[in-house]
Amino acid sequence: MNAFVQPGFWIFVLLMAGIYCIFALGLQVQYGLGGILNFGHVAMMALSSYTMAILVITYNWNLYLACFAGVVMAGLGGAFLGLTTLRLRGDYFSIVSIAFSEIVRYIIHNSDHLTGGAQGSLNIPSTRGFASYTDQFNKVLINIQGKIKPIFGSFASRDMALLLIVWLSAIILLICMSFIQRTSWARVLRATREDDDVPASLGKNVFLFRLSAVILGSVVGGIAGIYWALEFSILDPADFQTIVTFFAWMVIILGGATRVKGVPLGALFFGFLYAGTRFFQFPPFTWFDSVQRAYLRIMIIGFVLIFLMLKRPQGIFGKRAEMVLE
Amino acid sequence: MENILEVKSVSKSFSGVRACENASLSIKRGSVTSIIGPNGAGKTSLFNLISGAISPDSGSILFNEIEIAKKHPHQIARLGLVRTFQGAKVIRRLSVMENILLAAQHNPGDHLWRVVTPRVRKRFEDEARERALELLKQVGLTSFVDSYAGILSGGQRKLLDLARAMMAQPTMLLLDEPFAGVNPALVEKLVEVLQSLKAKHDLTFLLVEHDLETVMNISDEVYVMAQGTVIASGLPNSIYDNEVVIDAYLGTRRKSN
Repeated sequence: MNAFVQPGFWIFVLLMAGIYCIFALGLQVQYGLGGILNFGHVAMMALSSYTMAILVITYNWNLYLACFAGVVMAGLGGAFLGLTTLRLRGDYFSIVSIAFSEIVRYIIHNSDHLTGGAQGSLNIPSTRGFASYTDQFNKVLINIQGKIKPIFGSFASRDMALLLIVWLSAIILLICMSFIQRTSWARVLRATREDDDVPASLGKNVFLFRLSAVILGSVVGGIAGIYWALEFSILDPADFQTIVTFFAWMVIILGGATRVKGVPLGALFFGFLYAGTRFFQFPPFTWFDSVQRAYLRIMIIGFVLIFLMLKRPQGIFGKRAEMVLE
Repeated sequence: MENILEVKSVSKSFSGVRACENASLSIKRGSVTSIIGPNGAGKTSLFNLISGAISPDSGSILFNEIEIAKKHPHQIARLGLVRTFQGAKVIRRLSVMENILLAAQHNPGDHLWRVVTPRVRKRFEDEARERALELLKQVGLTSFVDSYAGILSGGQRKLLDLARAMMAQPTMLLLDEPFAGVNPALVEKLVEVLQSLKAKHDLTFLLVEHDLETVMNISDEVYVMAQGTVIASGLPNSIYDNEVVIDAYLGTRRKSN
């Protein structure tokens, strides 16, 4: 049976879509509300996941405490990025944010004694003889697997258990975000998308609003990093290349950047296109070998984005009316 | 009458070009003061200096006896000194109502953590919304409450800009060319709105304006700027006869009314 028709494969696709949904939600807060073009979002995922792994492996921290610390670290990373660079305007901020994520990746890559360097989390110094951070969590997953077995039967895999946790988190975060979008905090941020002078002239500290948006987005991105780490059980600096940030961009562009509800849809769509297309076993996909197909899927996403920009530039859920205002 | 705003010998230059040189103004509380002058005279630069958009190289600016020369725009606005912009800047992708609500001061919802206290936020928003509706009624924009501000015409944007500035509950308003590019009927309406706002809220106005006729009609005092500095000031009538002003700005002697 090819991978395409295996339920396990689709569970994996949905799981990854859930992680991308959370990851992109962090970006949506920054771009959809504040118009902040952050191209270094992946750094937050790297910071949270590596912080968590190091605390568990080297310092024997409780996993949940370490996860919390990881998310806090992502928030601090956002604060650092914001404090140092948010005074730059639009495009300049984007360039510096890419540099920030690459600096984080290179530090991880080269700090062998702390992060395990190029060999990834398996090489993180451990007092217990083996470098694993998922032991505690695996027990939880096995427990959940047992509980969902009566409902899902043979589909009640480790991925299925994690899938439920990830999407539950995603839904909770989506609800939180849609509440946040209704506050006057969000209104001021939406104003700063267009103009700094007006909100400032009305007594709003534009810098603080932007900074808080970057920190909030980074915290949410950090949560995605934790799930990423828990899904793959090992971390590798190569997992956190700049392209991952752009996957999140694809998600919010597909869904419609100004709407929270566009994010899960964009994530599912992206997950399907990105992971699913690798296993299409019919022409024209069968004309290519699997390595070629790995690149083909990125091209397909590109074509879909171009098509979408032509036919529905506001994204699937975006507001068309907003785009024609001058 | 005491002065609400004192600008003392303020200078600002941009890479050698002097935008303002030793400019001084004294604005009396509750008055309408206008600044006139040729293009490039430094009027808008002076506005930017007062509102904190740029900071002066030297000199001091006192608002209600507080030094504001080094303060940020948002800090100055919070003190009650609010400005509008040349050409009326509205946030196009926010509704008219949202544009006005933007100006509500001390909004608890402006703090991210307040997302957990929806009741406090809602109580404030409801009150703010009521006040906003009142202001929209005053400027005649009630039929556009939920429309995007981007669909408004130039004149309507000016009205919205004015209403929004009022929402911030200022004690003094800086209006940058409020009548520019506005048809005569709307100028009349704007003047009417300004005067009713002034009477109702005990406001002080400082205007930059080219529409001399309106300036002379509504101002208590007029300052004339040229080449970055104040060259004359006084009652509107005295300005028409001032030789320096005629040379620098008016060109020909006008009949004072």
